Amino acid sequence: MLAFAEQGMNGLMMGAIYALFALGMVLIYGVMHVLNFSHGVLFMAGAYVCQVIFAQLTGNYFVAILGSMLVLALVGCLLEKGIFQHLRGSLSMQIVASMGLIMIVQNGIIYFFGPLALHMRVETVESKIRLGPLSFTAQHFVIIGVTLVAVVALDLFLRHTRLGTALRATSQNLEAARVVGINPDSIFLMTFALATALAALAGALLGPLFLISPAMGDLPLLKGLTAIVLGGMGSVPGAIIGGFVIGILEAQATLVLPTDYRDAVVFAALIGILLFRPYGLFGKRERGEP
Amino acid sequence: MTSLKGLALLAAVIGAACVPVLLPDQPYVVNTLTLTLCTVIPAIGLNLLYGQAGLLSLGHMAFTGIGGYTAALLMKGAGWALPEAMLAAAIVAGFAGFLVGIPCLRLRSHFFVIVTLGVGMIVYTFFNNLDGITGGAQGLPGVPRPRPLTIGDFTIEFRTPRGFYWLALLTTLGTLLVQWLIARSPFGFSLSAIRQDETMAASRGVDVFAHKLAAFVIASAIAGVGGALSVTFLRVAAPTMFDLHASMNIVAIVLVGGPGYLAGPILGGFIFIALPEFLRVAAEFRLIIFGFVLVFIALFANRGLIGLADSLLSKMKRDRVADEQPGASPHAVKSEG
Amino acid sequence: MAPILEVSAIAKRFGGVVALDGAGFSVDKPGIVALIGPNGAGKTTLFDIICGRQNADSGEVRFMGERVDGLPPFRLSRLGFARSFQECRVLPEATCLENMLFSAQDKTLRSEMAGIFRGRAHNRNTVDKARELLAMVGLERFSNRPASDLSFGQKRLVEIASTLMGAPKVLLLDEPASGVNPTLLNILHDFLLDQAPKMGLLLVVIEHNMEFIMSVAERIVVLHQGRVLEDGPPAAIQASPQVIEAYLS
Repeated sequence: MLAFAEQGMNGLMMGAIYALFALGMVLIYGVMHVLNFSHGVLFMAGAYVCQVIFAQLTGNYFVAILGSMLVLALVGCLLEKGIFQHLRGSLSMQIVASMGLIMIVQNGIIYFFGPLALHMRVETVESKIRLGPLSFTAQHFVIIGVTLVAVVALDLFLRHTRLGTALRATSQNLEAARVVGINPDSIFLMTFALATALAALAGALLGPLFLISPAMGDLPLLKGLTAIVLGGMGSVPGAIIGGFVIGILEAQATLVLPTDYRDAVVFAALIGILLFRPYGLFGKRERGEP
Repeated sequence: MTSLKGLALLAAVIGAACVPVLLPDQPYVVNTLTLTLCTVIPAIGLNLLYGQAGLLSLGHMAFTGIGGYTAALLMKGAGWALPEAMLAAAIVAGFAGFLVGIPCLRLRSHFFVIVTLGVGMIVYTFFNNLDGITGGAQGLPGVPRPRPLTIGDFTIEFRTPRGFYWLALLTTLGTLLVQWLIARSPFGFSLSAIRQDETMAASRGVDVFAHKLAAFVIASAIAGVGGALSVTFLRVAAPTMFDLHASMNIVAIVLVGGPGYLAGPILGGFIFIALPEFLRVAAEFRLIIFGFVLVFIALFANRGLIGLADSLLSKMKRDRVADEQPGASPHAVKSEG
Repeated sequence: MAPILEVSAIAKRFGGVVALDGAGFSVDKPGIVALIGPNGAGKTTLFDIICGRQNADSGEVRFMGERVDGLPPFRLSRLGFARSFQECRVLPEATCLENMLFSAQDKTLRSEMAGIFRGRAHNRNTVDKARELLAMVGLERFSNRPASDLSFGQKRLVEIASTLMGAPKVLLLDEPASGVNPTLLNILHDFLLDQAPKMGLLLVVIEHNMEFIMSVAERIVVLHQGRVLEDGPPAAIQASPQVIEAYLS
């Protein structure tokens, strides 16, 4: 029972990371119909940028997180303008470009920082918080807390600001949005920047808890993709729930299966669910589709 | 196929076969080319799947691995000869493709792509952890090379780089033949109709699911053949040979070379594997350059390098001849693309 | 003998919206039948149900007496149904001739696998037939050009001409006149009037272009609010006060 609760907490923490990650991917997919497979390396780059700012410029972790989000948002703008804007509507070319970016970013990082993992010594990782008989790092709570704040802020932004409304309008009907005077190009740009900032946030949050390494984004990418598929490909709440479900599921799976099979369990669950619901848990069949 | 193309093909095959004779004291070059061919074979399977039927699988090396481990177990454990082991590898990998295809091929495009990634991940996890069968992370070392082949007085020794290179070349040509046969057949036409417009193909009587499943099984079997060849060449079957990075690499090979073109995987494989070895570029730089190449392909050359050359050539031709002659060749069969 | 096509009591609702409420009609002999109705009358839904693109909530579709509702499009095609699409679907990379030959090909996996070594050689008669049909729609000179080179109207002609290569018994046309310029529309008009009786074809057309409909159809079925409002020859339909009222309201 205790192990169950402990894994529940760990699952919630990883679920928060996956949710942030999936949120970025689903925003891009929902608004632009682009599947950005390079989200994983942007997550990883976010952690590295955070580490650099934290260790070399300021000792303040939260300033470093914000800095990293800002830097990655700029990177996102560049990628949207230079690459993904031109690839809307071609899934395979989105994948090709993403693979290219994965190679560039991953090996660029190896070139500058070396292949070995880095430690990020943040105070919240060293200090423990006790919950009854269990103890967790303060970072667990930081991750969950920050994620909740980010999700609520995003929800407020999407529903109660002009820009957020414009974003939702664009994702629902591009032509109609254009007719009412929304410039889709700037919405796309903003969406990408927002999504990459969320990836950076997730990377910067997870970095101190585990290690920062060039491959740290590979598995979150797979989990993030799984989360948005479970969520029905385009549903924001679906992606968040999907992220948490995966985090908790894989954490609990380690209680009954060897840790090595954790990732396999997630995908087996995905395939099993798609067998019965081919459009995801929260997805609906689009009109005209077979 | 025009006779000119046929001649060019013949010349290319003879040229390729002569490489080890022309470079007798360069076993490194020959081995590198062999390694390239070992990767080209699964890429040919993927080319059939993506270039012909439009199905992008990001976990294709899983089937190469299934074939590879099958062959490794049979050759090492049961003492099978390579041809039988290769056949078994093709059958087992094809059957695995059948089992995976049934649930996955019913999904629409985005879901299919993501699920294939998951399949690649799951199969890799099994390779890496089923210690009793696959040897876990260390894999199965000590896979034997094929036995020497004696025809009359002539003996081909597959322990030598030269002998194995010829074997790899022959196997590659065999799989290319399969792809060529499919590309020019009515079956290939139906697959390409599915790629161009699935709804239209179905309305004209193509059982889209059955056709996709058949293509998936054949592509997996070809991948299995490549796996068998790889493990007997490298003399080991190890999980990292068949992980997601390897799958991504062959996707890149197919897309850079030119999906749908017979020569696409060969060009792609040469660019991705042989060229960097010969140029001796540091690994990180090599991959960074490839990254830029891929971004370029995505933005400017959707049909790969051969497709780019093809469209440039036909544009030049169109500039020369304003309009094509009506009714030139009634049996115009596009064997490529 | 059973009717060629018998559509009876089809009902379909989307959420709370009733699209079809017991619509049906029956055709005994080959000819050209039009399905018309004001916007939202349920034509497209009925058409989709006949083509196997959607399933009805209740009611049935019979072809030569056999139930065919619920069959997937490829099965319907193999039984002798063919259709064109409103958005016009051809194989863009294939040449016009290949588009024609694709329809004639036996596309069961079994026969394709049996013929895997034969290549895509077609017998002389099939190729001649394809060329003849292309010539009839005035596109013979585009035989060896990819279909993507054609204008929308020309694609439409290739699409419809190619469906005939499969020798269908029922051909369903989804707004064939939309987006086609008058010259090409005349070609299409003459082509349909010429080929339908020759091939013993039952043509079912949905269309908004009244002029086109009145000049090709022998019989018109008018849908209104998910039911059949009127069913008869064009002259009777044009004179029907109910139809006029439905279109005006």
